[in-house]
Amino acid sequence: MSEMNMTDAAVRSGRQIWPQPRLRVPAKLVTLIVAIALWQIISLANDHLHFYNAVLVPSPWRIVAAGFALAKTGELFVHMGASLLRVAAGMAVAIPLGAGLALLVTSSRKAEVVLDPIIELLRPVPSLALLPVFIVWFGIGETTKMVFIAYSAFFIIFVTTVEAIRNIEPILFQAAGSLGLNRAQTYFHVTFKAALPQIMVGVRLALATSWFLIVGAEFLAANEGLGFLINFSRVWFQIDKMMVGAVVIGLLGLASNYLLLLLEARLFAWRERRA
Amino acid sequence: MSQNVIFENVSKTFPGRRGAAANTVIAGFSGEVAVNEFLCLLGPSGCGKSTVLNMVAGFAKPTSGRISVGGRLVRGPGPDRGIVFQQYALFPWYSVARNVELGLEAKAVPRAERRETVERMLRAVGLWAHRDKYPKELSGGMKQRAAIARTLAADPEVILMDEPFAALDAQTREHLQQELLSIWEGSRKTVIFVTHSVQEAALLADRVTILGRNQGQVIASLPSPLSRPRNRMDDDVIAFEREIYAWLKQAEATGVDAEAA
Repeated sequence: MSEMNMTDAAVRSGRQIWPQPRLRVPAKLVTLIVAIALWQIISLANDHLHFYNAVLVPSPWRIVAAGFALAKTGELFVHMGASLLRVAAGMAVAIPLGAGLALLVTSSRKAEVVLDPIIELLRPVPSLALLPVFIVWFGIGETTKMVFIAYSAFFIIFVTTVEAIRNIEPILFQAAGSLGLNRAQTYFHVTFKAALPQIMVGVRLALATSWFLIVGAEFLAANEGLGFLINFSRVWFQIDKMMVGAVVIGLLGLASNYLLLLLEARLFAWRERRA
Repeated sequence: MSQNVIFENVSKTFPGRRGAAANTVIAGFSGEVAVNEFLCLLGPSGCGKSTVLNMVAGFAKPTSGRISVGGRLVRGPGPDRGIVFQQYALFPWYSVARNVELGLEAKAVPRAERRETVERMLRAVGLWAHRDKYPKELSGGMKQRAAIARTLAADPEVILMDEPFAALDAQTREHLQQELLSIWEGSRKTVIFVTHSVQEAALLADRVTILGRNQGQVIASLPSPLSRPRNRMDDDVIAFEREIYAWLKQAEATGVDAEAA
């Protein structure tokens, strides 16, 4: 058998299926820029015509200026750092715990019987509902925020991982068995490897939710953080600063999601995807 | 080392769901596949030929009776019985070479020897140049070549093949049949090959066993009169095809009888 009679066309077409990570932005970026420009133009017009109260709806430029002012004093970075650290710490606990328990529950009937009912009972309770409880238990320090984020993210990662493992094609396990892979080897080479892309999707979803929730937590119990910045600025009626907090949270969420997408595209180049 | 496979009065019944009657797919199946024999299992769809193969592989447990390989009772999947699936079942997250290496790793073969075997197997199936590719980058025929290399590399005592070429186009199928034969003739092994193609059975088999629709009863077990190598266009190959075809028609007819009865 020579390699010459290999179906060349198929090889070539196979090459072309390389997934292009779907991170193309330019066209959509234009939309964004136009919208912001429009908002700025309306604000400028309003400065002369006064058809709405400019203090309540600051112009994009005033928000940027407020952002620069906060950055200059370093205040912005203190808040950013605080929120970032809380989200990171929570995720650092939630990822191994969620993925680990999911692997355990799907591989051991005993673990499933013990853990699954508890997890299913707690899962529908919105984690925000438990935040006051966490504050009573752990005080208003960093522990509370980390536990809160970890708790919320855990369920998302756990559920997506369990789902991923249950959807692995049985034929792959049959192939592993016939190749003589033992339980641990099958676990690593089939279960874990097959579930990994879905676990990453779970991580992305959990991260998005964490950015969401950290703001709520910082409204209630914090002396710094972007949520604190927003709430504290409300008290002083500094709407531009409130907007800065909201925009920065959005940007952090966007950036972290983008980084994870890049990582996925690199890590899972083996995936069969056309999109 | 190659081994034989012995079926002793094997039956398989799938329990009926929600009050439906239980479905006996195989009843009282007995026979032997000799060491180094290439057996083709042929029969109308639904005759239970894949069930027989799954039981040898250890994926399904016989309801009664015993299957043994080299005198050892089959109790579950194991590396002594390699299987090639119609759907390839390659691990998509590993390169071709890593797929082939995995069975050797499971056997704790030393790294240097592993590398050597992987290269030998991939050269045998003409995939050495594609060793670093992921399965998704391969055509169907190449995927099946990789799957065959993976199974052979683990050096099983018996090779089970479940309609391995059924999903391929006619030309690729012919190539792969020839390649399989030349590899098999180079180092013989016991093979149980499930197919629904009369032509394939005539070309490959030492013996063709035809199962009927009625609980997998053996309609005929035809030793091949053909010498090797074979050419699919030779008159004696076509004559054997005719014989197999006649028996297959009869197998389908018994099915109809059984349904009428």
